[in-house]
Amino acid sequence: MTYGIKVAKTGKSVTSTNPDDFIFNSEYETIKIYDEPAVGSSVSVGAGSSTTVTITHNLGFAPMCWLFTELATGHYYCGVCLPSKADGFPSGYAYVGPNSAETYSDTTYFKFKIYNTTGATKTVKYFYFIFGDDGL
Amino acid sequence: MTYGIKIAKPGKSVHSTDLRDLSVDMNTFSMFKLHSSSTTSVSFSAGDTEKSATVSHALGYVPAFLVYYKRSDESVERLLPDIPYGVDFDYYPWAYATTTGITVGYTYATPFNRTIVTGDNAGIREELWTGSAGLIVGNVSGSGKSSAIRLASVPVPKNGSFTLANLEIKHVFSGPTNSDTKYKIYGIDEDNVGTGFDWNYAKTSAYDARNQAKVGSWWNFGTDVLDQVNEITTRAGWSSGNAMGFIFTEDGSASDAYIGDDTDTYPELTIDTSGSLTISFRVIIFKDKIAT
Repeated sequence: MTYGIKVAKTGKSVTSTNPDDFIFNSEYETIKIYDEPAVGSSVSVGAGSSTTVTITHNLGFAPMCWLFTELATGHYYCGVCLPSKADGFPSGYAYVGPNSAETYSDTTYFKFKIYNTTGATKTVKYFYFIFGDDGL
Repeated sequence: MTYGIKIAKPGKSVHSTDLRDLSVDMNTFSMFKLHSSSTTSVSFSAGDTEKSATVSHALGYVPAFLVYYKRSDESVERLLPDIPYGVDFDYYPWAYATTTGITVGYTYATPFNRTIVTGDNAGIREELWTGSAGLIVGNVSGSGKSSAIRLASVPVPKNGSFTLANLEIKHVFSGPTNSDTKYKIYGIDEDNVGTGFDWNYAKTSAYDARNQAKVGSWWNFGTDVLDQVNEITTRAGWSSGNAMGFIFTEDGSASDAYIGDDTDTYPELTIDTSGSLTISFRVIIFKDKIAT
């Protein structure tokens, strides 16, 4: 006999064998949020420049991470992506560097590099989740 | 003493200090809370460069989110962010969260299904004309003049299904008379127009006959050449990237009724191809706050 905790969705049975029928089922691993910053954390990025944000986690393994950055006012983009044309691409915009040497996690740090191609210094708010689970 | 639920993975101890050994540890870790999962889509037609749609959430703050997308010309669903490998920034999906919704979209750096070819001075010839003007057509001091345009490489396929072909002549001037300039625009009915401009062009059966009233200053005009382009690109020998030409022939203009363009601006051919593209998005919104 196995032990665990199951919480089924409304109208579904805890005896179901369909994983999608559960809100929670300890038979399946759960993504665990290990760390997240205070809401409103930000970094200043100079005009035509870039800034690397370094988060020290000291987990001893390279964790999964999930990043959101405010690349345009009030618009929080997910991860390494380009903003829309309405948000400045390609004339002048901010983005998170896609190079694996500049945006990555390792056993000690989560790092990401924010570029600013506009002609003015830009304050970029960010939020991230570092998970207690392997990213590799 | 703290209370909570801690569940170790099979074969692991709940006393382990390695976070990865635990499926759940409510004292240490929080878990995402699902708010909604929904779908939306955007469609591209020829000429579109960016389309977007928004899924509202009414949470009052900026939530964490995930977005998957699927192009109608592909069979796979992809997770954002995703810059398609090998296409540079030619097209890409994007998504962002605000305090009221998740906006998803897709961007083409150049207009979808639209080919724009710009000519150059080497591709313009005037019949019996030695002046400094570019293209000229009509009646110059009693002498009828025609011109031709050669576009060195037109990357549209043979037997393509085109919905628009527009030839725009830029920075055009009119002759001194107030009479209309009368002329016709034919395609040059050849597989791959040479650079010689020998004036023995075979013309397409399709043409656009124009009566152009005098215009006082520099202006641009566009003309519909869809039938001419269709006739050329259905030739047995046409292939994408061949040179395409058009000929402007005088057609009974009064003396000194003519139009011409200058040598610093070049004709532009725009061709739209039929077909649309739909991008389907699956938007998963969590109740977890990332910003206010």
